[in-house]
Amino acid sequence: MRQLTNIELQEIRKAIMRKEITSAEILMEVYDHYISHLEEFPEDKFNEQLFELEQKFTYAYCHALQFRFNKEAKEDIHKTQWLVIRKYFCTSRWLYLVGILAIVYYISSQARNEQEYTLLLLSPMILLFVSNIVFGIQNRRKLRPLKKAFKGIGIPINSSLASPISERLSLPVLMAQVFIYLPKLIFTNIDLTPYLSAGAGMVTIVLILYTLSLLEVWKLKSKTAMV
Amino acid sequence: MSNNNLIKGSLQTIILKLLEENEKMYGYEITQRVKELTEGEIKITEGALYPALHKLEAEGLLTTEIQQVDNRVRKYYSLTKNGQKEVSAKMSELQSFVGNLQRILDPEWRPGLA
Repeated sequence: MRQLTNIELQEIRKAIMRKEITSAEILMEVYDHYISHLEEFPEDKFNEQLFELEQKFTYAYCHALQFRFNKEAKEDIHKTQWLVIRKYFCTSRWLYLVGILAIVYYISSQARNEQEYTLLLLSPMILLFVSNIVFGIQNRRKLRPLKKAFKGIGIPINSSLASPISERLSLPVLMAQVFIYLPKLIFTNIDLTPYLSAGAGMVTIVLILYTLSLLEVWKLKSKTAMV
Repeated sequence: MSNNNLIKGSLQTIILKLLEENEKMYGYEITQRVKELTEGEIKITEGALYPALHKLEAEGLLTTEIQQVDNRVRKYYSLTKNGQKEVSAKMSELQSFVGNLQRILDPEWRPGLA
């Protein structure tokens, strides 16, 4: 095994860039495979071996791999979040859940007017909003070395898991608009004040469970992907 | 005929078995280990390896871990608890298949006879 020269590494990056891979996970795996393989051969065999790799990792192959990986990543996030939520109801974590429920119940029973209910509903939203910003920053920080190595690729490089997580982080904020404004539009003649406390409490509990589970998914996935 | 066509159906079992013996491995390492164990007789193509690894990961049989190696990031695969359980099931399935194949090719053959 030998250390590749900077010129050789540049050659490898150029070859991979032509494949226009946008998934950071696929890009790093292909890049590592190329280097690991080429390190095994002497300098005079470099071009021949690089050509052989190019025959295996074709543009079509890489894009098919990326397409499947992106699809699986989306399903994986969904599946993992469900698993995490289900874990909250397991015996080992029931105290944790009961604690959250008790706090939210107490706060919702203390709230007396519409402003306080809005504040209650806003608390998980703020957590989601802040998480989304931190997620974006960490994602950019993790991708920086890869983006630097593939500078000039001309297409955005992103983690395959970033978009499904980010979408999930912003989804409740959009859904909240529906929760808050839809009842007012539909039940124009009904006074909803007596139900506000229970409604706000329930929505807050769901949102908190959703937010905490998503943050846990992010923590889990940060060990396995570029997020 | 190429060996590659013959091992296509057992690629997942090979990967799981190798990961059972080695705590964690990366893609290229798997191809090299197979080549080394079979003295070059079987070569796992990259075209089949990575889709199989990603599929096993999506099925929850493998878990991954990224590590900084020199100036690049390397993705290591290892077995999950479900993956560990699946290895023995897949191994006995493959052994039974090989036994049946042996019986078809040589009706006189009995397990345990050389």
